[in-house]
Amino acid sequence: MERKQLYWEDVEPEQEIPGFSIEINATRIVLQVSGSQDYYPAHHDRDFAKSSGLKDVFVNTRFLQTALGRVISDWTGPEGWLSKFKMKMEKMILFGDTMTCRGKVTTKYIKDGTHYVECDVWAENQREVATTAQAVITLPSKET
Amino acid sequence: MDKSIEEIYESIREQFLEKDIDIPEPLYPVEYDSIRRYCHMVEDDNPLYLSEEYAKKTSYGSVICPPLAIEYFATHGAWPPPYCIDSLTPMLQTIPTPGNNNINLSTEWEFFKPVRVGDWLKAKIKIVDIYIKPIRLDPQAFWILTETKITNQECATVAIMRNLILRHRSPE
Repeated sequence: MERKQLYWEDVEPEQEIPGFSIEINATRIVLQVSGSQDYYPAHHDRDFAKSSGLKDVFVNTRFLQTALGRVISDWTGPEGWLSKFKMKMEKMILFGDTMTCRGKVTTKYIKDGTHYVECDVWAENQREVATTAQAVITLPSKET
Repeated sequence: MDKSIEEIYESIREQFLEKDIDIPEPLYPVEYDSIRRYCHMVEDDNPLYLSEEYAKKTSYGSVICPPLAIEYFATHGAWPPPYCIDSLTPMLQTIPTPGNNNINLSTEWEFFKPVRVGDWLKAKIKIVDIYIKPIRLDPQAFWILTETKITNQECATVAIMRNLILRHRSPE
């Protein structure tokens, strides 16, 4: 249960942020609805999605936010704080895809005594990067 | 006589742009089990979100809601219809765009305070821009930019979110 705490001094620009992969199968779609409570049928009803002109059911915003949020919180440990998060959904993660989420540090700085790290995180499937996000995180410092 | 798309567009802008929209208040405070199901979507086992025993040892002192989950607790709830699945749905349902298929394009969050189990959240939403832009499925899809402010029981702002959505017609 213990989670390792990341400190600002341990971060370097261009550092890779490890993530995870999950299958977007029928069970995952059900978990998506259960967790997000989003019953919009394009996210679970394959007939509806296809009749709307879509290729298939696609995962919803909350699912993607949760996944990318997990990449960040897994990496930072409990005392990291997500200050800003901007996400853009350009392609869809579809039923049947394998979704992989990971990231990379872009910069780090100190402002008004607070230690910041900025990073890119993204969700990709086996075809392409589908969703990208930029996060601003505060981390504890070893000096405080 | 049916209105043209341009007439509908002008009418919507006049009626909705920069107007504050109140949405139904949540039924319940922030709860452990909803957080747990939220985390389960993506196999997130972060004990800060799931274990009081663990969270007590952190600077938060108690379980906190994942920041990107807080909107869920600022809404009335998903079922039964017509209640909102998020802070946007009731607003979207009242805007008379020609299409009623929604695609969420982007979200932009700023977080100010942690949210804890037992907190009561509220959301206020405003439409800050509306425009027409073609997509593959609809050459006259409506793009809507909203701003949602979420506050807690002390009326402190815990987060602000901007959301770009498009509404399109189904292909014939």
